Amino acid sequence: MHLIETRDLTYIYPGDVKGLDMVNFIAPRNARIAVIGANGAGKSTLFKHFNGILTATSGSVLIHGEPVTRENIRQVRKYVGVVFQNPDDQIFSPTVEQDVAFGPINLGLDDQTVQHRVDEALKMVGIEHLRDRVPHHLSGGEKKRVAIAGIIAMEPQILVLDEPTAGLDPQGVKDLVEFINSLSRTYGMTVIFSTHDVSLVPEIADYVYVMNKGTIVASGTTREIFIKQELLSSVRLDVPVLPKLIGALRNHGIEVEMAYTLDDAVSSFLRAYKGSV
Amino acid sequence: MIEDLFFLEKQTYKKSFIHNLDARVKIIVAFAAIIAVVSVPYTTMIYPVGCIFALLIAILWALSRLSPVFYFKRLIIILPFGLFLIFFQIFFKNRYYTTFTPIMEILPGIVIYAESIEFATILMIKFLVCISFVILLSSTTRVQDLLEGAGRLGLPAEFTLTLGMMIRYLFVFGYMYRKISQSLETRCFNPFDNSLPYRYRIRKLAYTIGTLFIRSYEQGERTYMAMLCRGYGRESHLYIKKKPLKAVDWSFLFCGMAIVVLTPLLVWFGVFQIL
Repeated sequence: MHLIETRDLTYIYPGDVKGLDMVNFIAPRNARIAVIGANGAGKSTLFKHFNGILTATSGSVLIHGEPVTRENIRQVRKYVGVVFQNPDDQIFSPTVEQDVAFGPINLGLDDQTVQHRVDEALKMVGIEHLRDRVPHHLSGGEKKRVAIAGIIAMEPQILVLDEPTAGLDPQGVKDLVEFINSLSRTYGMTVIFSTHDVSLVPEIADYVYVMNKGTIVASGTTREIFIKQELLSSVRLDVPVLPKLIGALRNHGIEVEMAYTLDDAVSSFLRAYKGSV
Repeated sequence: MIEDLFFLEKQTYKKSFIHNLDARVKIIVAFAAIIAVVSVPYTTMIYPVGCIFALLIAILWALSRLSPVFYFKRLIIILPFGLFLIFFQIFFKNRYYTTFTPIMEILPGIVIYAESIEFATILMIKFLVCISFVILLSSTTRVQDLLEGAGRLGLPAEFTLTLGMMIRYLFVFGYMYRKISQSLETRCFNPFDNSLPYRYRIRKLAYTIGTLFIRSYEQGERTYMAMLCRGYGRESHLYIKKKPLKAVDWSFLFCGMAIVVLTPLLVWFGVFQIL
């Protein structure tokens, strides 16, 4: 049984605008899934179906094999934590600690457990020192971490991040990549995220869905997706720099093994260099 | 006005004996002082009470190490609201006096009475003391501490959660307003620039205010969605940890309450007299 499954999911916005069209999406346990697509492709609309914020016009959304209903909505929101793109949408308490405690309180936990969850979540995202700060005194990266901590404190099985790298500086992106990988590696959590930054995808995703105009136009491993350069260009996306560079070199007759992450690319180049001397 | 919000916040982050006190203690003493001064009968006994309370405010303000200029600036902003009502009292008779002595007739039927002037002065003293305590409390206590303090004192969860969100988004919209102003300045728009047509300036300002309203509406929708994602429901409340009062807080509370309660009583029994 998959953690999340959508079957022919279709959603039509008021005004007869199609947001999603026959989307079939699967998220297994302990997976890192990227959903890539241009602006307006339907990524955020899809994510809002995962925890019942939006209700399908037709088709179905199954969480743990069960459809999302009024009765199980709270349980679904406990399983599926959604981090919004703009942290200001999500941080609404006067202090960081109070905001992180908001979710656990709503789960009906006692004060001691709430405190424990808050401490652990702040520690996990490395912002224990910001505990008593007010949100408007934080930088964009710090606010993003607070937003993530607020969801982590609910101990979801699936973490859904909408454009998590938007507005982050390079170090912030690097920290986030490490954090997402640790969630999957250490805690066995399933992480689903959307991004325009295709170069980031090979570093943190095992599986990729490509969306365009509300439909899924391709899905597969990073290797399977980034080989389809024409498809990506047709949906206003690009191939990451590393495979693009290696592809260009190969077109010029230089034998370099294809690689998608920095580490793999370094190994490929070293092997090619050593092979040539 | 929006910049005043950030300036006020900056003052509350300063360090001093008064700033460091627990918010609960400051709330209790400030409200007790307001209740005490409002409870004083409408007689001249308000003069010694007002003087002692003014002295207390001056000492507390000095201990807070904030500039007196800041106090007067805030006072001037608030004064017109009360001053307007107090000023008109001098033309009317009131229920606190049995006889009224006319001292001047400005227009036929509009007379200034000596007793009405006294009544207006009493009101003015009460008003000044009350708002001074509010200024002192709000200038030395961070707004989130005020909320937590009120929550610990028993403010219902429905209020603390709503007020908490109000505080949070007050600053979000403060920053939003600042960005909009900066974007207008960047494109050389000044609403007081007489070289631009009056109607054009009004229209642009109306667009800006309209945009701010639409953004606030959209922000509300997005925030509500985010709240639902985190299990918002009937039982939701603001997380407020237990925090015991320190010895210094207890001492201040005891001394502050003693002064606030005993001052009107001692004046009532004739221990202090000015006039």
